[in-house]
Amino acid sequence: MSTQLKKGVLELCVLNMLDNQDSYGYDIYQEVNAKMIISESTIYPILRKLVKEDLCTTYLKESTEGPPRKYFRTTELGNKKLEVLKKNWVEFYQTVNSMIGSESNE
Amino acid sequence: MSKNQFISELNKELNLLNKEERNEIISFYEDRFQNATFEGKTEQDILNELESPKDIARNVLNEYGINSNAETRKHRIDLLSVFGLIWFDILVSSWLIPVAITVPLALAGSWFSYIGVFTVFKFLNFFPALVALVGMTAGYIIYLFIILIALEIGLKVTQKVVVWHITVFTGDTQRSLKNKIDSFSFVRLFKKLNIPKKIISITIVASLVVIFVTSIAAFYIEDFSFASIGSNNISTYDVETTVTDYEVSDMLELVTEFENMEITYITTSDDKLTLTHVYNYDNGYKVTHNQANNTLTISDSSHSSNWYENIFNWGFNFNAIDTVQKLTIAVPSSIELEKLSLSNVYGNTSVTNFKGEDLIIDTVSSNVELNDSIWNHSSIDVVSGDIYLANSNGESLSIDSISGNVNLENITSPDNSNLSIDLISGDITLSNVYMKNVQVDTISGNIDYFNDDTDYVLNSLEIDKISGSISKS
Repeated sequence: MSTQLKKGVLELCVLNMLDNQDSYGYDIYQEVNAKMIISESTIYPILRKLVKEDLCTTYLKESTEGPPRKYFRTTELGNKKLEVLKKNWVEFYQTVNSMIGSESNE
Repeated sequence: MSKNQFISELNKELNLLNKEERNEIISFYEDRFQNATFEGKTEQDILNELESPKDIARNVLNEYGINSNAETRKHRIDLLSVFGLIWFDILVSSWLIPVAITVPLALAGSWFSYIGVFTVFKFLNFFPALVALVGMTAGYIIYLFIILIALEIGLKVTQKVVVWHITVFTGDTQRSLKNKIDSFSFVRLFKKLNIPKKIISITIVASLVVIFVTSIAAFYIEDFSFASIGSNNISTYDVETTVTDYEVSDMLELVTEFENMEITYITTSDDKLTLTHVYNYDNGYKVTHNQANNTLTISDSSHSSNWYENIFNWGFNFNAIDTVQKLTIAVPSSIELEKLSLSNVYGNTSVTNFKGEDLIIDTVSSNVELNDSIWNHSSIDVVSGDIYLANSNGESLSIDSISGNVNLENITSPDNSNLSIDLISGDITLSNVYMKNVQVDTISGNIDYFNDDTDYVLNSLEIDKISGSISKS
């Protein structure tokens, strides 16, 4: 999968992941990386951007195995944005499919 | 690479972000290291997992929409540094410009003093002068090396400042230009001459030794004392040269060309032409006789055949200050000269009992005195200095001067004689001057003209002047 395509949907994936469960930077990277290979350095600016746009907040959480970690949690605004992004993605996905005439999907 | 190195390098690579953004990104990586130990990993393991700071920076900057390509990325010009730099420039140029003017002057000055020393030492004997020449030359070589080093240091500082300007105004981007600026060097230019290092070291060491030795020698050479140059210690020599080889006839033309010479022309009852030279520094003179037109020329022989004397003549001539040069020309009274032409720059000129066709006196700054002489055509040309003519007879006389007084007494002449005086300032006194056509041209200064014989009638009298009084009788 090309990096350009990945980058476009990375925000959506991260936001969705955080909506399910709060997490910290490296953990988010590892989870995403397990499904699609990305470089660590692309994920951090995205997290920063989410915080800056008030889609996420951070809090410190004690860890059983080390110092406290900075956890990310979606905000209400983040939830709304996620819904919009998901809707956009489905539309986009269908549009692209219809254009390239994929047979595996209808 | 250690963790700290990694962080500081990342910090540097991310310098296009503002501090807050940069710290946030870095904190992610610091967390990674912090948690590593609890995951059972070493610092090195983490470093292996991570991309290089350069790659991280490129990705991060891309996320921020910044093209991290080193040659084209935009640099934020920091207004504060720009203003600081401008202040610095004003401060520097306030002393740099005078220095830039002074340095070449100092170089030229050192050259003149180098030459000037020769001029002074030419009053000394050959040996001390040679010691001075060698010592000064060695000193000058060392001086030039020091200049080279000083220029190099100045150049390096200038290059640093120029590069600093480029950095502040255009960003830390133009490496090729910087390298170009840095690559210029006087020392490198000098090295391009390909003078072997050995020769340079030998030259420097030899010069230092020579300076040392000549300085010591200077203490032991008596003639080196500058006091000996003073006029107190100058002894006067009389040298009499008698010219007998030349056919002294009525057709003789006698010409002198001197820079510094007091010339006295007299006649003698002897039948030989005699030249007497009195001096305290032997600047010498030479006598040449042109058989074809029977011309005897007496002139300076300061351009000597000795090579070292010529070297010492590079500088200004101090002859006028310290030396006495007198020449007495004694001509047999029986002969009439075709032409007498006396020319010098300084040194008074005196002519007595001249008898002949043309009399020409040409000088710059000295007095001219003419007594008891007979001539047909005479011209006297002076820039400054007084002119005194008495008891003489001539057909035409023209006097040309700028400043200085003109005094004519008891001059007689045949009919249709002309007297013309051309002066800018200075008084003119004419007493008993019996010449038919008189023309006086001056700008300022008084004119007195009176003849005892009131019956003498002039053909024409023209006086052209701007200020000053005229009295006439």
